[in-house]
Amino acid sequence: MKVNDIITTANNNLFRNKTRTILTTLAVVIGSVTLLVAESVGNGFEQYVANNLETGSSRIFRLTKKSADTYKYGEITKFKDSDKEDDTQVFRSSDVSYLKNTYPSIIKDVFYPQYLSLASISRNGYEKFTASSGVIFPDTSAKLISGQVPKFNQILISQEYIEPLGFINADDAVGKVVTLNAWDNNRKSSKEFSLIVSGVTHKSESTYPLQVSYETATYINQIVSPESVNPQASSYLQIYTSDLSKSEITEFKEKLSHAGIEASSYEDQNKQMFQIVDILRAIMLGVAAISLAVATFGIVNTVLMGILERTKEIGLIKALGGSKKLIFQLFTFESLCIGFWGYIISVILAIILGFIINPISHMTFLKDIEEFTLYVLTPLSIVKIFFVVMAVSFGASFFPSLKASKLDPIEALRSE
Amino acid sequence: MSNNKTDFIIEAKNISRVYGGKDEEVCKALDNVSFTVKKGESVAIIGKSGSGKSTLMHILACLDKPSSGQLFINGQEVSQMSPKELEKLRGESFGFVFQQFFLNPNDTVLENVILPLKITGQDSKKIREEKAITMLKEVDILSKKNNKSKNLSGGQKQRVCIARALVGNPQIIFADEPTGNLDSTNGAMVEKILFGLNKRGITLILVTHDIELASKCQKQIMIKDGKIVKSL
Repeated sequence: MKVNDIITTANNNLFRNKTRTILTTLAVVIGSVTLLVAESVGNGFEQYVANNLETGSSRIFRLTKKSADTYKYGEITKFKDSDKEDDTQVFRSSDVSYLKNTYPSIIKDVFYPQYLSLASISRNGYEKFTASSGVIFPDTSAKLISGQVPKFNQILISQEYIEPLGFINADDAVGKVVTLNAWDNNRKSSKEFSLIVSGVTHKSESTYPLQVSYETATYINQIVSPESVNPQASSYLQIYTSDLSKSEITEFKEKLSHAGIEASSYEDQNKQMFQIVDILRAIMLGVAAISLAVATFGIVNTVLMGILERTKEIGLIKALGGSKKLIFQLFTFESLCIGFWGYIISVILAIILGFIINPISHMTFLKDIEEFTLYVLTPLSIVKIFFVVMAVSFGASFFPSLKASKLDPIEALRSE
Repeated sequence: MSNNKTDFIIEAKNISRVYGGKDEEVCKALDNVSFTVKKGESVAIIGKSGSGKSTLMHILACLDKPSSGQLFINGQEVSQMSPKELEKLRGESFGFVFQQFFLNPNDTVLENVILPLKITGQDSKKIREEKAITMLKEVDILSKKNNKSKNLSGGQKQRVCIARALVGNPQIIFADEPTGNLDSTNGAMVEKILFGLNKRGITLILVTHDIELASKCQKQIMIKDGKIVKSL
């Protein structure tokens, strides 16, 4: 038999028992739609996390001492007098020189973290708005709407500041001057600093709405809070490394670990976020897999019933020169056709669901998280799940089809 | 592969077919059967039910294998042929007419007749249809070509069945009790068609218990308890 004959015959055979075919297809649809929904919601979470990642440089590492006591909620430990002299918990200037001297080729710079305590941001002729700022390093891959990463005396602002500060759009903001008010040490008065907007970022849940370079932060702190620039002790340090390969990073981290220091990059922290998304996704796919498994039994049943009903026909085809392979293909394609049509219907439903789920979620439980699109159906997901559904359809029909192909034509044609 | 020039389209040598064995009781359905069929001959295999005549036909039609003995079709030994060659032989050189017709009830007459061509995968859709229509004309049932076969009478069904057997242009037609389910008028008509085909050179192997029908064949092989008791 020619391939197109096999496919059309298999497809036509589905219409012989319409009720059964419809019910089986329905089972496939339920399974596939669940799978598509699970995948789409997983995509939504992943996209949200990806858009709200701490954008950081892969060359910046945050160092902490392994033996540092971190307070755990509900857990009080005895204070030891030795703690105040204990250099194994905090970084001091000796640590900085140790690091610089031990890894001269790897560590380019060591920083004490600089926190800015901002009162407000404003622009000539506009109102003041509250502000908080973080430090951004030069090679950070920030997602910018416009402009670039700030240099000294420049500032990166989030898109939510565009309108309040009277800019027309992101492009308009770049190059304009804004005024930053930084609190002094005891938060009694503030000092003004004029900075040029270097660029505009997307609104993000996880990074600061304002970001300045390390140099700018240090400069501001030197004026408003000089003692914080070079502290006596710090619970963590930041280092800026040369461009390292993955294996070099691992090796470097191991060496630091032996010295009692833990190093983590933004990437490490992001990895954890993605791990959580992956777990979430796995759970949802697991649930979807169960409903697809139910559909599998539906297909097995349909193919088996079809074989039982058409025993004589199978015998006839074999008597007329049809091979085992042909019988196997006929029933397998029948199952693949159920999977195929079921999946087409499922994709249509899944697309329609997108138009329902997203508006509803934004009206209800996602009201406050505008940029979180819960349901993201991607073409890649559609293709991926297509192969899953077809593989399941094939798997479901494999043994029944094999059974059919082994029917003895004489037995099958024997009159009752 | 031996390809002896031979006048015999079928040559059966000492064919036996044994069922059972091991723990079961051994049943000899065919016992040392030998005969020959010439090209274009009409042969009746006669016997009561359980005599082994159906088993013999199944073996001749290569649907079953003999337990011992040799079967030659066109001079070629069947046991030496691969499953693929056997399928090709059945599909392209044999035609089957069954007592129970075995038409697909929900398919149209035309679709039923096209089926063998579809299975062997020969010809385009258009040519298949043309061939089927020619055959339906021949058995005088063209007017029903778009009817579902379940809506036909027994005689009509058997004519469709013959058209289906003919469509692949076979050398041999195996007819298993072709008139068994028909009344005498329809039976006579089917008989006429079958012998008409035989006159055109198609070898006819007819399995029947109807002595009168058998007597119209050029050769009769009478089977009893798996043995040939009389061969004319």
